[in-house]
Amino acid sequence: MSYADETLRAFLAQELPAATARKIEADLAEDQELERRLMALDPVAAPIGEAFAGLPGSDRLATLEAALAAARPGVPSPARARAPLWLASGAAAGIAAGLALGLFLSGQSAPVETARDTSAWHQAVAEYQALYVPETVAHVAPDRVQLGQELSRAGAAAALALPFETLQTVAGLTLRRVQVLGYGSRPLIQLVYTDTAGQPYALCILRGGTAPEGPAMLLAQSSELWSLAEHQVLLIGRTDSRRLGALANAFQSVLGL
Amino acid sequence: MRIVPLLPRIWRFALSLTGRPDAADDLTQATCLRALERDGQWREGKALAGWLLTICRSIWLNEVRAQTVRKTGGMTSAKSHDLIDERLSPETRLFAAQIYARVMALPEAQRATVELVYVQQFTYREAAEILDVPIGTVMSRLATVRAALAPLNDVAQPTTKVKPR
Repeated sequence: MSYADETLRAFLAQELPAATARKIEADLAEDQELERRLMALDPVAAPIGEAFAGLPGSDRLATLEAALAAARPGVPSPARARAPLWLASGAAAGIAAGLALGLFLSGQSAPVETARDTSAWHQAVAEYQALYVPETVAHVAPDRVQLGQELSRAGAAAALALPFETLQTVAGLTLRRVQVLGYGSRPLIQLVYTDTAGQPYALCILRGGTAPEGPAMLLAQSSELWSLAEHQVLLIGRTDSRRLGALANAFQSVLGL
Repeated sequence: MRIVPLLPRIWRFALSLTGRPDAADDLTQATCLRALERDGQWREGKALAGWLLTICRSIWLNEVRAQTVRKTGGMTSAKSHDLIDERLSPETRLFAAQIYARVMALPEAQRATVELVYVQQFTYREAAEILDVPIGTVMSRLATVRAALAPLNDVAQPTTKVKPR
């Protein structure tokens, strides 16, 4: 049955006769379009949704994410040290078992120092990223709408889903800028992040090709390279290799290895 | 199956159940561990978020609730200054803080229903399944909440908002 907006507003305000209200309730149980209309008219739905949308805060979420990322087998101890007590207990065995099932992360082997082909694309990225200093992006105020649009464009160029809601903050890093660069004939996506101290990091994505995976020092910057089904991903920044490894774990989870 | 992107949703639901951010941390972590243990019970195509929140509620009711209520006397922690999104404008933060305080002052069952329907945007039927109550109970709780929160209309709303994650 179709109801006028005025009738639904009266229902929400509990101003309808009991019999009419019961009829609407019965229809709501079977009619999702009616429910959608009612939600759109509900005066408290949007304010409540928006008040809670930002929870938990980035610091709290980073702690939770880092705890899960740190549970990856082989991650060095400092990352584990930031994990809550529940991971330091026997429960960690459960996490490890889950990792083997591919529940949280890829289950790929632990990072191992590897030699790199310094002529490959990651070297080009390292040379570009080496020019970044905190002042490079300090003035860039993240605009949610603009970043979302830039991510859509970049994702389309690289044929990879880059959802803003999962990439805007990752393990305490905040997305500042998205650029579509090029490496040869292939699009190279660069996502610039900063940590709470303003230190810049780059998450770069290149479609196709292969390169040695794992951590490496590139021009005094820590980096980690890994592969998706059709893409290579490089995280790079000036921090110690253990922290970079933990951050890479968080990005691997977000990008759905 | 990817749990990490769903951590904010698990945590918000845990907050609605426990009423306390610190207890929500613990409940979120316990939920993740239990999900790992029950990995074989989840099937592709089944809504992962709903499955995780059902686990979250089960742990809360069966294993954690009595202990938490005993420790805290059932008091919720309504402080919001360290929770509301720091990227919001001061005006919007104030408005969000007022909403937060009023919602957190609601009884647990109403908070959980509000969180699932208004914040996570589950349908009435989905929320009813997660909460293991009849769909009519979901509607009844929302009607009660609307009446209780009617003074929200008296609060001047800012124009700048953020979208749910």
